[in-house]
Formats: sequence, C-alpha cells, structure tokens
Amino acid sequence: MNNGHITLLIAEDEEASRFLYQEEFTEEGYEVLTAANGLQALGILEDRHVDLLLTDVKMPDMHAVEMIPRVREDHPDLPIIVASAFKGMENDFTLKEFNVAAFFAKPVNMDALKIQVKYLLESKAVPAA
Amino acid sequence: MNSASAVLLQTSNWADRAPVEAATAASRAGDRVKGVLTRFRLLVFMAMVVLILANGKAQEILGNPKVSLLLLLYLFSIGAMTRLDARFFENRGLLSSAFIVDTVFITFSMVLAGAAEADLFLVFFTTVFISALSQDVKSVFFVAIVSCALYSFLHLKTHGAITFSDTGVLVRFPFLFIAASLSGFLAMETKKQQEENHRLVGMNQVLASQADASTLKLIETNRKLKTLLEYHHCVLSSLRTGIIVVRKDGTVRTFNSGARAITGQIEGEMAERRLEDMPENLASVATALKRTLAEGKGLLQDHLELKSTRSERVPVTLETSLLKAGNGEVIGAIATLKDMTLLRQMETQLLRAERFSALGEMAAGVAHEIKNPLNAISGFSKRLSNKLTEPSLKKYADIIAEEVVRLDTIVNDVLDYSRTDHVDKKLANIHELLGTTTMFLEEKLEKAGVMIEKEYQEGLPPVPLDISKIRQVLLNLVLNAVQATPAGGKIVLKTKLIEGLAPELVEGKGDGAVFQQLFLQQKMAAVSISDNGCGIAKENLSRLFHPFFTTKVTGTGLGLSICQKIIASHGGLLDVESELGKGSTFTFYLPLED
Repeated sequence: MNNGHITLLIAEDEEASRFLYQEEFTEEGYEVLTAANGLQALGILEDRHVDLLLTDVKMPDMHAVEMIPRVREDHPDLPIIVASAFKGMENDFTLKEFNVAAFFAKPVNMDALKIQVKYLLESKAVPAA
Repeated sequence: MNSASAVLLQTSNWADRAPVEAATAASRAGDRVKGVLTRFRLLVFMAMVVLILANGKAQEILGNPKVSLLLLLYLFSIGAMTRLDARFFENRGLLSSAFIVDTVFITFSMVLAGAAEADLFLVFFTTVFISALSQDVKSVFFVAIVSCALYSFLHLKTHGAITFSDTGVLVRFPFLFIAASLSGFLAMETKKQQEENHRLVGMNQVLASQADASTLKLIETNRKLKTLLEYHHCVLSSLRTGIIVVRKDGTVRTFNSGARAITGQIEGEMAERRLEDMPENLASVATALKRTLAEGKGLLQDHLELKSTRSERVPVTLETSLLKAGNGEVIGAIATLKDMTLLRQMETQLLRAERFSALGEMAAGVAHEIKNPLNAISGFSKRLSNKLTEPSLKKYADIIAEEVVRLDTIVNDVLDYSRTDHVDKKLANIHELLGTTTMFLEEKLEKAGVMIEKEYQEGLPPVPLDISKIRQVLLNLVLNAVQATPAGGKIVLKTKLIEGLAPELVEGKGDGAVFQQLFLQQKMAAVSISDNGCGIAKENLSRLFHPFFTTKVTGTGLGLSICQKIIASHGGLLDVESELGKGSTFTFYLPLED
C-alpha cells in the first residue's frame, strides 16, 4: 500500500498503545509521527504537515478537551479521531463542538479504526480532486 | 355546646334578678304607706268637713277665707301626694313632717271650727298611732310631744290654766306617750320583722343564684375535664410513638396504640401488668423502666430491636424518663418507643447510594487503567495472530485476544452498573423497541431453537424512557430467557397498561414508603418477558438483583442488577416470578408520566 505521502500524528501517552498504532499504520504505508503528550503534539502540528490526528483523551499534561480547541485554531479542517479508555466520549459536547470526526473506545478494534482513517482521508481528498 | 351557652345565659338572668327584686320590694312598701296615708288624710278632711257642717255656725266658719284656704290647701296637698313617687314615702323625716303638719292642721281646723271643746285628745291618739307608719320611735315621740303641746295650748286657750286638780287632763299626757311608745315599739318590731324577712329573702335569692352558678360551674368544669380527658386520649392514641407509663410500684398504667403498633401487644392485656410479668419481646423496655425507677434518671437506648408479635424485628429508639407529680414527687416512669424502620431504610438507601457513587468513581478509574493496557494487548495479540503461521502459536495469540474481549466486557459491566443513574428520557413506542431488540437477537434465537410470541396491548401510549438503556434491559432479559429455555421452547413478550401496582407487588420492593405510594397510584406500562425454561430456585430469587450474583458459569453477575438500576432510575420497578422447572417471568413497570 502506498500511503507514504500521507502523514498521521498519533498523540498517546501510553507507550505500548503508541507503539501499536505506529506499527499498524506504518505497515499500512502511512508516515506516522508520534507524540507522548499534548504539548508535543501541538509542537509537531506547528512544524509539520499532518493529514490526520489520532489522539488519546487523558494525557499527563493535557486533556483532549484542552488540546483539540488549540489544534482547531490553526487546523480547522484536520480530521481528528479520538480513542479513549473512557466510555461515552462521543457524548462530550466540547469534542462534538470542535468537530471530532470519530470516536473509538479502547481496546480499539484496529480493523475498524483503519477503515475509519482511510475513509476520512479519502473523503477529505474528494473536494481537492 | 348550645345547651351550655343557653344555661349560661339563664345564669346571668338570675344573677341580675336579685337587685331588681329588692327594688320592687322597697317600692311596694312605699306604695303601702302612700295608700294608707292618702286614705287617712282624706278621712281627716272628711271628718273636718263633717265637724264644720255639724257646727251651728257652719256658714260663718266656711265664710272665713282663712278656713276655706286651709281646706283647699289640704285637699290640694292630698292630690299632690297621690302624684308623688312611692319611693318618696320611704323617707321617714318627710313622713314625720307630714304628720306634724296634719296634726297642726287638724288642731287649727278644730279651733277655727269652734270644736275645740270636743274630746280633741282622741284625734291626737289617732295621729300618734298613724304616725307609727313611719316605723320610727323617735318620730312617733316627736309627734306625741307636738300633740301634747298643741293639746295643752288648746286647753289653755279654752280653760285659761291647767291645775293639778284637773287630773282628767293631766292623765292624758302620759297616756299619749304610752300610746306613742307602744305603737312606736310595735311599728319598730314589725319593721324589724319585715327587714329580717327582706334580708332573708334577699339572702335566699343570693344563695340560690350562687348555688345555681356553682352547679353550672361544676357542670362546666366537668365538661371541660371530660373534653380534656378525651383530648389526652386522642393525643395518646394518635401518636405513632409508643408510650408506656408505669406507676412507682411497677404496674402498667398506660399503653398506647403506638406501643401496640410497634410491639404487637394489646393495650387491654398490658394494663395493670407488672414489669416482672412483661411479655418477652418487651423485656428490654421493662428493664429500662426498672432501672429508671431504681436509679431515678432517664435512659436512652438507640439501635434497639424489638420483636413484634408477628416476629418481625422492628428497629426502635427507646427513651425512658421519670414521671413526676406537680410537687416534684416521683410517681412512676415513662418509656417512649420510636419506630425507626423508615429512618433506617432511608439511611440504608443513602448509604447504598453513596456506596454506588463511590463504586462508580472507582470503577471508572479502574476501568480506565485496565483498558489502556488492554488496548495494547488486544492490538498486539491480533497482530501476532495475523503474523504467526504455526497453527498452535496462532491459536495462543487468538486466545489472548478473546480473553481481552472478556476482560473488556467485565469492565464495561462494572462501568454500566455504576453509571446507570443518568437517563436521557424521550417518549418512545415500547413495541417498536421490542421489535428492534428481537430483530437484533434473531440469529441467536434461531440457533437456540427458541420461538418468540408477542402479546402486545393495543393503544399503549408512548413511554418516557432512555432508549439505549431500556434496550440494554430488554437485551439482557431476552438473552437470559434464551439461555434458560431449551430448544423448542418459547419466550412470550407481553405489554400491558396498568393503573397502579398491586400493593403486595410493591411491598418491600420499592425504595421507601413514598416511592411505594407512587407505584400504587401511577399509570404504568408493564413489559414482561416470560420463558418456559428451567426457572429459578426460590432461595436465589431474592439474591437475583444483587451485584455480582450469578448462577451462570460465565457472567459477571451484574446484568440483572444493572437492569434493576436502569428501571429504578426511570422511576419504575423490576419484578420476577419464577417456579423451578416451569420457567420465569421478568416484568418491568415504567411510569407513563415523567
């Protein structure tokens, strides 16, 4: 699969999960950038072009509810997927308001997540094509 | 009440009557004096006229203007007197003056009439007797003195002098005084008698009215006492608090209906019973009362349990105190029993709610900490399974992945259990909800060889409910039914509109008395899921809804407790009926009004 021109940013404080996502998406052919906390993720977003953000909710320095509004300041159209060990994040009003594209509950069904990522990137690509 | 006030009115009449009667008696005496005096004076006048006419010089006398004037004046004074008020004649001084004036008048008339020669002294006797009407010795004597003076004046005028040889004349003076004294004395006695009579009558009247008043007061006091007694009885028997009063000698004086409600003992059987002979379930109360009497101070026993005669255990608070008379003397002891069932129930509920919320928080925290590693384990085990070609190794990886799913389910159940209180209610058609749920289970039903039968009530109104949560309940209950039913069995789904639950159904199931009351009144939608499967053992029925209780080999034991919590958070009730070997029916009731 040639997804090499597509860059994913993974924000996840759990090393094992971060490594899992990295392995899975690299294998899918994406370029995968990783951040261990919210600030790192914001730093990468400033420096690099990112096509999709997959983020955890509870991270040591920053909660997704704080991070996502800051991401939206410069990246209003960036597709964002939230994967959390908390159940019911899909009902969080802040995240809904900031246009989070999809929610996944941990343990994440990787096949479903991969399909979701692909779908979001393709639908994003449609208007450009 | 009406008769009492009427009686009171009458009393006031009687009380007022005494002075009125005294006044009437007095005026009656005045009237009498007035009548006698008027007649006497008329008689005097007529006697004068007869005397004048009988005299040979009648024309000459009547021709004298002084005589005519005197006669006219006298007649006029008689007329004027009849117009006077009766009370006027009670004045003794006035009466005396009237007699004196009359005596003078008579004397002068006689002199003028030239009748002075006659036996004048008889006129004076009459005057003196009549003057006794005044009922006063002094005035009678005064009249006697004036009469004597006038008589001697007339005698002197006609005879020139009074000599000692003139005994006939001299004797008349003491006789006049004797007559005066006698008539005065008799008059005084009569008067005294009259006064005494008056006083007695008056006193009688006062006494009678006082007696009437005190009888009425007694009746009134009696009535008040009776009302007070009734009132006290009502207070005692209306109290939910049990009250037991014993005398100093330890015998029961009072045992109210509150005490009966708590202990099951009957008032009639408890009265006069000795503390030593108290029934077994009142032993602790008897001990406390004995101690109170012995130690002379009250006791408080919290968290006491009394067995009622129906052998229920009733949590009570027992408080004893000394019963003291008005003078401070100890005359017994009082025990109050407060039924704490409701309070304890509420405490338990509160405690449970607190435990739930604590459990909820803890569960959420633990779930998060478990799910993060599960995420990696699940992902990597699947990756391993995909990458491994050696079948046994591949199987190991698959087992890891499956176990992760099981772990995740358990964690989710714990989370659901602790997070069922937030319901998002919307009006929903229960039949549609049942339809989508069974559709979801079609595959499983087919596999188990179980049929679904529907008995829906027509026109069941929409029910306010949280669709996802009630679906969770339906899924849980139908799945349980499927698991309990052997192949070829059937599950019946039934709906019904009911107007309040039967009290026996609510008994001991709802959360608290108020909550139960609601169930008895509200319109509700009843949904039942029946199977003809293995049924549930009686001893397990009551434990069925407890968290972590399960009879299945696999399962968290949270399913039914979550269902119950969800239904409770809708203000409803989940009930089960089951017979071992015949099947079970789970019914939940949801209120139609939010």
